[in-house]
Order: sequence, then structure tokens, then C-alpha cells
Amino acid sequence: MFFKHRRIAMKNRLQIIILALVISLLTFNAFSIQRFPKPEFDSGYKTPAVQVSKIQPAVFEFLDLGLFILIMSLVTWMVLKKRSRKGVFWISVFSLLYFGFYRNGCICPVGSVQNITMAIFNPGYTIPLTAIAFFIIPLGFTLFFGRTFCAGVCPLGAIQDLFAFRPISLKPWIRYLFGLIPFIYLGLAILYSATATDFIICRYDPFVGFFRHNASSMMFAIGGILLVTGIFIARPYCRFFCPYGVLLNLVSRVSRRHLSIAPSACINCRLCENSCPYDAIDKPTGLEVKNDNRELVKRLIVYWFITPALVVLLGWTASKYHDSLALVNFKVRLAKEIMLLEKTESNVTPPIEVTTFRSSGVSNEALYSEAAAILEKFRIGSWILGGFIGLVFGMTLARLTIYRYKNDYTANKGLCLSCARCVEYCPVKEGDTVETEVVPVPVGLENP
Amino acid sequence: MRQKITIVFSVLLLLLAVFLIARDLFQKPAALTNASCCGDDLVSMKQIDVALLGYTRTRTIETGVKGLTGITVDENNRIFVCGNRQVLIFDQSGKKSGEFAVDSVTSCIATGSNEIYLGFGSGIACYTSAGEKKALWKPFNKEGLITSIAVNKDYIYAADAVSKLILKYSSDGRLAQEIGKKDTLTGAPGFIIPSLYFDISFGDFNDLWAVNPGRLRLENYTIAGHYEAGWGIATSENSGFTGCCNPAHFAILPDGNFVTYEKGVDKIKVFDPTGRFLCFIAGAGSFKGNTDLQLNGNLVKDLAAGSDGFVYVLDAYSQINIFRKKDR
Amino acid sequence: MDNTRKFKRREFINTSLRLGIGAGLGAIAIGLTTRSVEGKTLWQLDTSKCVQCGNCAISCVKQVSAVKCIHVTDMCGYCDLCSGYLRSNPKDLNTAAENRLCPTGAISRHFIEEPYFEYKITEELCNGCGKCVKNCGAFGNGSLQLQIQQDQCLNCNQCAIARTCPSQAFSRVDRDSPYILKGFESKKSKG
Ligand code: SF4
Ligand code: SF4
Ligand code: SF4
Ligand code: SF4
Repeated sequence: MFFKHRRIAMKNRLQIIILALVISLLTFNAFSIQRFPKPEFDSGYKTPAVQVSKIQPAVFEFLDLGLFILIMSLVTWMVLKKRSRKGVFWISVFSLLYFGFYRNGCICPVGSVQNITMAIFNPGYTIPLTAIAFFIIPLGFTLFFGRTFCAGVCPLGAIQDLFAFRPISLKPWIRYLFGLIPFIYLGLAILYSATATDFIICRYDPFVGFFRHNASSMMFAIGGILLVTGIFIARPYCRFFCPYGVLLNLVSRVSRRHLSIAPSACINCRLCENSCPYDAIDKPTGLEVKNDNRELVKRLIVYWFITPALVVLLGWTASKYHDSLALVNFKVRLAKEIMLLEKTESNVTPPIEVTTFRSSGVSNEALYSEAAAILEKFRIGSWILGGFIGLVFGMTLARLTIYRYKNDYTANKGLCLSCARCVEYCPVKEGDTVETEVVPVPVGLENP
Repeated sequence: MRQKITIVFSVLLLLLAVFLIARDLFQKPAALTNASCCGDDLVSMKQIDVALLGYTRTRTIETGVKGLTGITVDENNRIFVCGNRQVLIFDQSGKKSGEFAVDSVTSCIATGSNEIYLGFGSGIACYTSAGEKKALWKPFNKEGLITSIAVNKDYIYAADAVSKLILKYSSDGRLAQEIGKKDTLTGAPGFIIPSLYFDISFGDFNDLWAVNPGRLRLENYTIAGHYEAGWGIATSENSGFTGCCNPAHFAILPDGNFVTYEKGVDKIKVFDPTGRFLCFIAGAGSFKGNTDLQLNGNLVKDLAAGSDGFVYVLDAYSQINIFRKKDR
Repeated sequence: MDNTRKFKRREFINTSLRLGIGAGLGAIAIGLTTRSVEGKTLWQLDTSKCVQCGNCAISCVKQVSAVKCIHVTDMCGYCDLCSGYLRSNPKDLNTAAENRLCPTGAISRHFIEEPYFEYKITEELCNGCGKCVKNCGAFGNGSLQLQIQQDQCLNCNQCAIARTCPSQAFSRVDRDSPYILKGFESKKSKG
């Protein structure tokens, strides 16, 4: 309530300022009225207006949002009802062209994780409504229908999908190991946005440079690397980097419905076995594995004990490095620089941010205490970050050992990007008696 | 086999991407070494030849008050500074000998035989030296700004930077004359005042000097307001003034020489009455050191000359710097 | 028999998790919506903080920066010797190219009447380096100011210049007030 009020009041005041733009060079310091000695022109010359461009009305963002929802629904329908790879493909091309190249890939749901975190931890930050919507809507869809957002809406996914010419199946250990990166990335992104330091997901968005035809050479290099790798390792960003993918993955595991490879009962023909470029098809387990069950349970118990230890260990390790992590923060870096300079006062010209800070009239102590407060946040944050990584690590280990009997080919609900490639390989036709909703074995949370 | 190589190759590329990102994130950002790149070498322009420093600092008085804007010295060499709704009086040793609050933010200060005149924005206020308000004169121009006041025994002259005029008042606050309009008959050039800097002072021959900042000149008027002559050239050399409107402040020494302060380059120079450069008093680096050179503020707020030949400089750090001529 | 029980149990767990996640998302959405703004906020730099370090020209994600020099004409002194237009130590006082300060020649000069000149910025040429701004601020009125020209700006989620600005002049602003132009007096009482 209070916030609203203040904002409205501010809006009005700012509006006036805009109207008068510069005429209102009101009250800064010493004098309360603007007394600028304007030249008097005998020739009747009129001072031209200040050339500042107008703002696009917010309506366009909501149009975008509407289109976004439309495309989401369309692609979901394509995946679940039409079961058409072609449809999904063309929709993804459209998304790439529109959300990617035309709208420059911003704000995307991937980056919105940071806006949400920032808004939760920094009450002063006013989050755009569209950012909330872009965060919630794909997750909501995923909760009910699986990762259809990845299939055809995400422009980052779409551009990689075009490059997946010769996908090669990766060894599970590589997949699991690299699969840890998104968790770390997500953790860091949350840490940095919670401390209002930086939005690293946007900073290292690999393809936005292509969308804008404009980026630093470093970002082009990373984007290029990912596209080249993407020829063999399909969608490397989606699988091994994307922080939003982590959330989608987790949510998708409990999704109400999901793309099924076979429209009715699987006949174990193995035709789809190698059809998934993302190694997201779970094969049926042979019966013989079941015999080892005892051994597995033992290992599982061990891992259950290891996990808390890992959490503490990694949390502690990360917290040891919290000040290095915090150096990304401008204030912390500035405070450190100034501290260093004060110690070794010499005739070197200090860097410009130090000079600027010194002339701002804020005392060193004020800066130090502010930096200390941020550091403290980082200390706690890095404990949580480390602990989180430890947990994920432990869970991954445990997950590897869990055995669940299954007797058909299904898409792994977490990893499957709903691209519907496999569907084309399946010879089974829509059955008349068997309902799709019941037949696929529900895959629990614990199953990879 | 080939597949294996491809996988190894791809995985290595992925690791490279991870490495590149991590390095970029945690590496210290490249220092911005633009301090001198940008303002056409503003830093080097601020540098002065120390061999040409003709004055040394004898004392620095910490006023302890922020936002001071004006300084003047009376016949007894008492130092008056104003700004921030107050007036402070210091003696030569730097001891505060008086202080009083005033009703408005003040822009400039001048002392008469018994009174203190203060620029109150567009108007002028008259106080006794004890701090009692005697009068507040109606502004000539409500939107105006008095940037400098000079007082002789008959009249009070005030420079209004917005009206671009010198206003001559009798001691009871009656406007007697407006000086400085452009006049092709008498050859008066008219003041060009692009920014709020417009300083005036009395010369030795019962005459009035004023800065014409837009022309980068000092101009001489009779006390009756007739334009006489002027000097000053636009140059970044020592021999004249630089920028678009300078000097920002000036004062006239007992020997007739001029002390000028140029904003932007933060140089205080001495010229002889014909406009020949004599020496420097201070440069940007003279106030708090090296870092001053990088600042884009004006380090000198006002300056004044005492009857003892000392120069009193009010700087942006709320200090009064007293400079004395070096012995040759 | 055993299997169907298992399915039921899993189905139940999944449903409860789904409900939990759904509720969580809803809570986030509702909680944040109460203090959200309709449109996106925009990036802008505060001219009174800017020290014209030159970073704006190089750090923007666009090759030619979205930050431009804006001429606040109401503050201009229309000086003949414009310190934003001419180098501060010109060889001769004329407008030959070598005497001009702007590296891209983005400022043009037009005679109005003795002794006043008008200065205009050609926006397509300006790269936001701030040289003119620095000198105009040092010697002149500070009528040349750096601002993000909003139709050029891509409105990145996190502005790349903001991250590196040494004076931390950037902030997210309301779209009702997309420009922060400096008042004249702010400069005078610096220090
Ligand atoms: S899902 Fe379809 S293609 Fe795959 S094994 Fe089963 S029946 Fe065959
Ligand atoms: S980076 Fe900051 S200080 Fe540097 S020119 Fe841009 S706004 Fe000004
Ligand atoms: S000097 Fe730099 S900021 Fe000024 S107009 Fe030229 S390019 Fe733009
Ligand atoms: S928001 Fe992006 S495009 Fe706009 S000025 Fe900043 S970096 Fe440049």
C-alpha cells in the first residue's frame, strides 16, 4: 500500500519533470530556482527542443506475452495431441525468428529467474509484471504437460536444435557429471541476483549476441563453441548449462501429462532406441538386474549417509571462498581497492572508480560497512550454495543406484525436451482400447 | 573410433566454454584508464609549470562548513566567508572570531565600512558586522542571481548574472543605475554570460572592473558606468583564458595586478594591469593533491585579495588557503 | 496387485508434489505481483553522477553504444568558443577538423547571430564517448549530457554498462521518466 502510494506520487512528479524536461532544472543544491542566463537572441531564434526519443508503450510487452501464451499452447497441442514433429519444428523456427531475432531474445524465461530472485530478496526492486509472467507460465505448462516450452518456444533451444545434425550418445557418467553444471550455474545466478550484484545468466547468454548481431567477441566465441559442439552433442546449452532447465526438469518429473513415445502400449520393437538426440529415452531394465537388489540397497544407504556429509563439506568449502565470489560485486571490489590504496598510500594515480568515489563525499567507513554487509550475505549465500551443490551431488549418486523395474521405452520426464522426434520412429498406431494416461509407467521423482 | 574422437573433442570444447565463462566472471575487470583519454586531455591541461609559481601558501584554515560560496577580506584583513545560510569571520591567524546565521542561501559577500552585503539569490541583504539584519533589498530581477558585490563609500555595485548587468545601488537600497548594456554608440560590448559566473571588483583608479566571461575578457568601467577598455584573449596558453566563459573569479591586488581563477582547468594566475601574464598562484594539484586533476568540479569557489597583498582562496574542500608572494 | 499399489502410491506422491509446486508458483506470482510494475523498467544513467570515463562507448552490448550525447539546448550558452565542440587547445580558433573535439564529427555548428552559435548532435554518429560532455561540463554549462537514448537501447535485463560504470550512475527507472537530465546548479556545489 505504502509502496503504491509513493510510486504514484513519484510518477506524478516525474511526469511533470518529463514535460518540462530540462526547464525544470529545479533545486539541486544552493539555489532553489533555476536561474540560467539564457542568451537573448535579436534574430528571433528559438531554442530547439531537447532531442530525446519516445518510449514504446508497455502495450507491446503485453502483446508479446499474449503471443507467448498462444505459442506455448500451440506447441503443447502439437506435442501431446497432434504428436507431430513437423509442427513442433516449424513452431520452433517461428519462435526463433520472432522471440529470438525479432525481439532480440529479451526478456526470456531463462533470465527471469534472476528478476524473481532479485525481487524476493530486494524489496526496493520493482519487478515488471511481464518478468513474473515469463517466469511462471512455462513452469505452469511444464507442471501439466512436460517441457513443451523447450520444444518449441525457447529461442535458445530452437537455434541449437537447428544445429543438431549428428547427435552422438554420451556416456552416462559424462551426462551426470556435466549435468551438475546447471545446478552450479543456477546457484551462482541466484546468489548474484539475490545480492543484487549481477545477472550472470543474461551476461553469459550465449546466443543473444547472434539474435542482436551484436556482442563482444568473447560472447560470440562462447556462442560459436556451443553451436559447433551442438552438432554432435545436441542442445549442449539446454542440457549442460541452462539454469532454468534445472527448474523445468524438476517440475516436469511430476507433470500431469507428458509426451509418450508410443501412442498406446509399447511393443518393445527398439526402433526408437537411438532416436532421441538428448539421450532422454529410458530403456527397459532387464530382469537380471533385479537380482542385485540387496547390494544396491546397501549402496543406497551408504549414499544417504554420505549426502549430509557432502552438504556440509561443500558448504564449508564454498564459504571459504565467499570473498572471492563477492569480488564480482562492485561495492565489495571498490571497498577492497580503497582499503589497499589506503594501506599503501603512494603517488600512483588511483583508478577512476576510486577517484569518483572519493569525490562523492561518502566516507570510507560507510562504504566499508556496506561492503561488509554484502560480504556477510555472500558468506551465508555461499554456505547455502555449497550445501545445495553437495545435496545435488549426493542425490545424483543415490539416483544412479536406485533400481526400478520397467519393461518399456519411455521418455524420461525430466530430461525429455518434448521435441517429438522419437514419435516418428514408433510404429505403434493409436490404440483403441488402451488409454495413454494410464499406460506409461509413472516414473517417480527418484528416477532419472 | 571416430565417434570417440568427436565426443572427446566436443566435451573439451564444452569445458573450454565453461572455462571462458568462469574466467570472465571472476577475473578483475580491466581498469578503466580513461582518466585522461576523454576530456581532450583535461588532466594535462590542468598541469602547471611549477617554476612559474610566484606565490606560496602560508596558511590553510579549515572552516568546517560545507557549501561555502563566497569570500571577502576587509581593510583590517578579517576574512569573511558565506554560504549555506551562514557567515563566518576569521582573523589572520585562522581563529574564528565571529559567526552568524542568515535567512537565505547566500551566493556572495562584500564588506562596507560597517555593513556586510550578501547576495541572497536574486536580492541583496545588508547585515551589520554583528550579524543583525538591516535591510533586504527588493530584487531587480526576480529570476536573477547576484554573483558578486563590490562596495565603495558611495555605492554598492552588484553583478546579476541572469540579467547580465551590473546594478548600482545607493546605500539605502535605491537602484541608481544599470551598467553594461550593449551600446554601439559608446562601444560598450555588453556582457555575454553563458554560465552563472560574473565577477566584479574595484580597481586602483576609482574604476570598476568586470569579467565579460563569454568574451574571455576583463573589462574596465568608470564608476559612472562608462565602458573604457578591456583585455584578455582566448587561449589555452598562460597568456589568456581558456574555456567558454572565464575567468570565473578575479580580485585586484593592492599593487594593481589581477588575480584570476579559471574554472575547468582550475588555474589561479596573476596578470599585470595591462593583461600580461606574470605568474601562477595555484593549480588544481595545489589543493588536495593528485586526485584533484581527475575531478570535474571547480575547486575554487571564490577568491579575494587583502590589503596586505595576500590572496585568499576559498576552495571546494571548505578551506581558506592564504597565499603570499614568494621572496625573490 | 503389489504393482498397482505401488503405482497408486507414486501417483499420489506425484499429485501432491504437483499441487505443492503449483501452490509455490502461485504464491510467488501473487506475492510479487503486488509490488510489480506494469511495463518493463528502463535503464538510465544519472548525469549528475557521470564522470565521463569513456566506458559508455565501449561497454554497451551494442557495437555503437545506445548511450548518446544529448544536447540540453536550454542550458547551452551558445558560445562561440564551445569547449565541447573545439579541442581545448586548438591550433587556430577555427572549425577545421583537427580542432574539433568529437572523434566522430558528430557535433555540428551553425551560426545564429553575433556572437552566438548553435550546436547540434548527429545521433547516428555519436558513440557516447563523452569527450564533449566532459569538456562542456568542465568549461561550459554542462548542456551536453550523456543519456541512454531509449529508442536505441535494447533494454537488457542487466545493462552491461551499469555493471562497469565507475560512478554507479545507472539505475532502472520508471518508464514515465526515462531521462535523467542534470540541473545546472548541481555542478557548482560539488566538492
Ligand atoms: S516406444 Fe515405440 S518405438 Fe520405442 S520401443 Fe516402444 S514401440 Fe518401439
Ligand atoms: S560509465 Fe558511468 S561514468 Fe562512465 S561515461 Fe558512462 S555513465 Fe559516465
Ligand atoms: S564527443 Fe563523443 S559523446 Fe560527444 S558527440 Fe562526439 S561521439 Fe558523442
Ligand atoms: S541496457 Fe543494453 S543496450 Fe541499453 S545501454 Fe545498457 S548495455 Fe546498452
